[in-house]
Amino acid sequence: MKKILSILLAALMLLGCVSVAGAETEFDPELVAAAQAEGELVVYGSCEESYLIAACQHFEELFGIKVSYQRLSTGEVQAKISNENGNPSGDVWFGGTNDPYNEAAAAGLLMPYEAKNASHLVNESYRDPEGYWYGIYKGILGFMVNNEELQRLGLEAPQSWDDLLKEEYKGLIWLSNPNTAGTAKLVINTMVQMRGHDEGLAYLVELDKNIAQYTKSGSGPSKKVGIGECVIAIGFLHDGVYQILQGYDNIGLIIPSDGTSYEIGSTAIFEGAAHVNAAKLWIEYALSPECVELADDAGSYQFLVIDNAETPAALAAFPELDPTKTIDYDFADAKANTSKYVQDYFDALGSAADDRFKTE
Amino acid sequence: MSKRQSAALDRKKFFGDPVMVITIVILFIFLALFILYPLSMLLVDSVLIKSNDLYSVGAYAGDAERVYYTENGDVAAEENAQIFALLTSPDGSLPDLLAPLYRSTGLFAAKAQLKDAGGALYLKVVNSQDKSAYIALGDLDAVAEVPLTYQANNRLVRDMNGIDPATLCVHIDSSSWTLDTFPRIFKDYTFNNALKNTLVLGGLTGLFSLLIGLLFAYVDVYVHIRSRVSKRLFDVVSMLPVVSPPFVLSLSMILLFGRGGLITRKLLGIYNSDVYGMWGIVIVQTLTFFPVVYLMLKGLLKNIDPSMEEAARDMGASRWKVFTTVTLPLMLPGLGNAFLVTFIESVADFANPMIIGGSYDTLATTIYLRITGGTYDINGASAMAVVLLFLTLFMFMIQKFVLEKKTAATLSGKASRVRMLIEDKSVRYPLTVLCMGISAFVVLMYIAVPFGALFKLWGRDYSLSTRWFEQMFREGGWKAFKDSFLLSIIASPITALLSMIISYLVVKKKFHGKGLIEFVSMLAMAVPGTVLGVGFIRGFSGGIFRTGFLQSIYGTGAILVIVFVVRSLPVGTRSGISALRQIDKSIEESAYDMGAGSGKVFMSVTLPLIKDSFFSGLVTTFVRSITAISAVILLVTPRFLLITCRINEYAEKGEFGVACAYATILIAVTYAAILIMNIVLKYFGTSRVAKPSGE
Repeated sequence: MKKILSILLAALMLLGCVSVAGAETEFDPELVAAAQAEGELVVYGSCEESYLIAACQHFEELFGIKVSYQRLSTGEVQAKISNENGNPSGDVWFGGTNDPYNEAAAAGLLMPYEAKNASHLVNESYRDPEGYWYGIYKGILGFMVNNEELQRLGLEAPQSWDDLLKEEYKGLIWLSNPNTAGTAKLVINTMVQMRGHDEGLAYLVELDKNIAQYTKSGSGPSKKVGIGECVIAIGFLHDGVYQILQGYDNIGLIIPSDGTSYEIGSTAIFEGAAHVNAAKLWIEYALSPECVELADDAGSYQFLVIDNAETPAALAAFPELDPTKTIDYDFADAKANTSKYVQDYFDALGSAADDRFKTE
Repeated sequence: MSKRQSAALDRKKFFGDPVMVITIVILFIFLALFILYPLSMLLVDSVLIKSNDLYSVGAYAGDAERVYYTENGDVAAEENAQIFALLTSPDGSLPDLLAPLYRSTGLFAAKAQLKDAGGALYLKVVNSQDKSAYIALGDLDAVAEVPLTYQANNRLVRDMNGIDPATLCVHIDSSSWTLDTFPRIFKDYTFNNALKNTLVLGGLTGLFSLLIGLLFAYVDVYVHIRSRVSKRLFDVVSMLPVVSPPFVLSLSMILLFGRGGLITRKLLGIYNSDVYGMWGIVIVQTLTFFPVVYLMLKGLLKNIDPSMEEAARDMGASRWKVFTTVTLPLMLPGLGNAFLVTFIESVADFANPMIIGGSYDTLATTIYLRITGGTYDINGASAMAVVLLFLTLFMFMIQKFVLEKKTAATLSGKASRVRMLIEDKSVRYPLTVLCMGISAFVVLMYIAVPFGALFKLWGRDYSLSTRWFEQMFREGGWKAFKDSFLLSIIASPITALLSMIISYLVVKKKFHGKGLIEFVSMLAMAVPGTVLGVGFIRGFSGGIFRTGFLQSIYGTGAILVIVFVVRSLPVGTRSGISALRQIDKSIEESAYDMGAGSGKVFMSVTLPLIKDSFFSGLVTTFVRSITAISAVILLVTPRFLLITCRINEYAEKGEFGVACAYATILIAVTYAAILIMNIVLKYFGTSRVAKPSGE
């Protein structure tokens, strides 16, 4: 892990030299005028608070449109919007993994929009074919461990998903709650895709026995590693990078050796949005260097997915965190079946928990 | 005869007073709309199942000639008959359905008749948003007019070009009444587990709060305490939980005693302490709620006549014997009362189990997770909310109608003389030390909060810095304080005035429905915040009865203010009623006799007499509103940032520094509010210094 840290430090130094300014982005003046006429935009953000705030403030500066925002887990956004009966209290959704976006699109909660700046996406897989959502960044699913704690306990860091099942990690692992966090949904989908439906669920039920706490938001576990509340966190590694840069140098980052998947942080317009033009402008903005390059300053070290912006330099120095070393995530399957898998997961867990309950 | 006459006279007098009649009517509407209606919507949601089924359109299922049907399912032959399309379930799992067809006239659609069946015909599909989508059955080119998205082949499409009508499928929403939800959730492991956890938690918290509260009250009333410091400490400890937001203790519990806690790790070297789970919640809730018990029992003990106990002492009973055979039996109903109040508080508590509960889910958190969760089981969540509501209502009824009356019957009036305080060192020292120990513990927990905000990096670097405060203000902290402050300050006078009006009507007036008004305004005390929040979402997100009426208040500050008002109404009303009962009727009657109307009497005579109660209602509402979380967390929208929701957000994500920074300022604001209230009451009040009653 020392190696990673030294690389990280080097990367930090590099960060100072690399210029952040991307190419100036042109926005369609007609759209800008229409958006400015609406004068307001309400954003639900499922990314990190600081990135959300930076993005909203910059949008407000650029276009003079008043932006209100709130950070909520993806599940909370989904619940809120579907509950609001087509009269959504927000206009756009920004950040968070895209499995919930797919669920929302299937439920008719999102409005399709053909974004011009989508042409800069490096790959067609980073957008919904019908334009319901667009990817803005990419994060790797992995483990974050507290090295000091592991050392004190005399344990090796887990290197693979299978390692997590070991008896010795009981009560040390934290995961987020699939009810509220898109991250946990991605974990479920990943296991189902890597191991097959039944095997995958059986694995998760086994894993549950070692888990100390399920947090509401996906980045929750990563935040507790540094102070030692949590010894092994499952989540996105860029959250770990953020914690390390905060001063928690006892955190180690691990990519499971038996493969992992990645999230596509997305953005979308809600069906029935009150400020449609401002929302469309937001999508164009979110797909421009103007917005995505803010992530670096705001401490969100994700891999970018558009070709005209600079990926955070801190990440460029992580050969281990190479986003291509992932399984071939089946987005179509995720789109169609996420809700079902989550339900299956809870059913499986319920009966397993029941059994445990009975035998005691 | 005379009775009837006087009743008639009363009625005449009543209706001759338009101000009062209008007030009562408005009050009824307010209570019905914002307390009864949201709760009844929960009941409806728990028994009304909405389903979304897939059908294929029969007329196009094959390449057969187009056939339309009448309402009865016969083939339509008669000209001018209203025509229907046959919808069949592709997998045959659902019975066939006849759907009325509509003819397009531009934006509007009219019911289609056979004679115009050749034109652009639309099948009207009611989607989940109660808006209509139309699917063309006739002229496909006209489909560009389709006003909304609709689903075909399980895919959302905007226009039909390129879709083979033979494969056309529609989703149709239907709703049906059922009682299946309740058996379903009672079979649900998550629910049963949560219910069991909630009951165990309520029992344990109630018991421990009772024991500690009783100890404090006993020491305060019976034991001679020499040092002024400890008296002061008692006051502070009984005050702190009232002014602090509900989850502050959970935060400091994690900071001090968690796995990486300052005390467990740094001082004691314990590495595997686990504060998450049942015992963590029990400790935190007990520390939060025992001061309420302490205040309740203190008043009770003061009313016990010392001569009864002294008589027993004179006859040779030991102190312990006196306590168990005289004092305790006298207090029994009061103890039961205090236990139930704590039980209800514990069961309704949302914030503490959320932050420190770990995998120990209670009903309040399970409901929240069901609603916000991806499984999105609104029927199940509503049914759970109904169960939780009945649980607290049941406790509330026992407490209100059985125990409160008994308490009043056994302990009425004032003690005949001053009690001789216990000087005996063997009693005094252990009890005082115990109380001091607990108080010191509570104070320690609160002190951890500002330090949590000032330490550079908890667990790593304990040097002081202002970085968390800076981050707080950079990330919308200023707006959060402004919004919370503004909404609470608007809610305060409304609640205070409303509760004074209600207590005035309840105490001084006679009319039908008076009992109902009193009960409903007190009801909110027994309604857990989460339940109320869900009720408001279900009740107002689509407008009243989903008609769109009053939908505009959803997502605004108004609905938050209303929730604040509803949540604080019982406290204000209770203090108003007790204040009014002490005012003699004749004072007001003389004003009436001199020709003043009820509005004038209320404003110029009654209100000034109960201004203490009014003012304490004002501040209590402010404090309760600015620290409220359970009811508003589901209702708040990006337009308003609330401090408590921010604290919850940061604490949940583990950014304790910022959470503590928010909590520190929040405690300072509420403490200042209470301080101002006490000063104002001291110099301008009619009599005593009022203490707000806590949540």
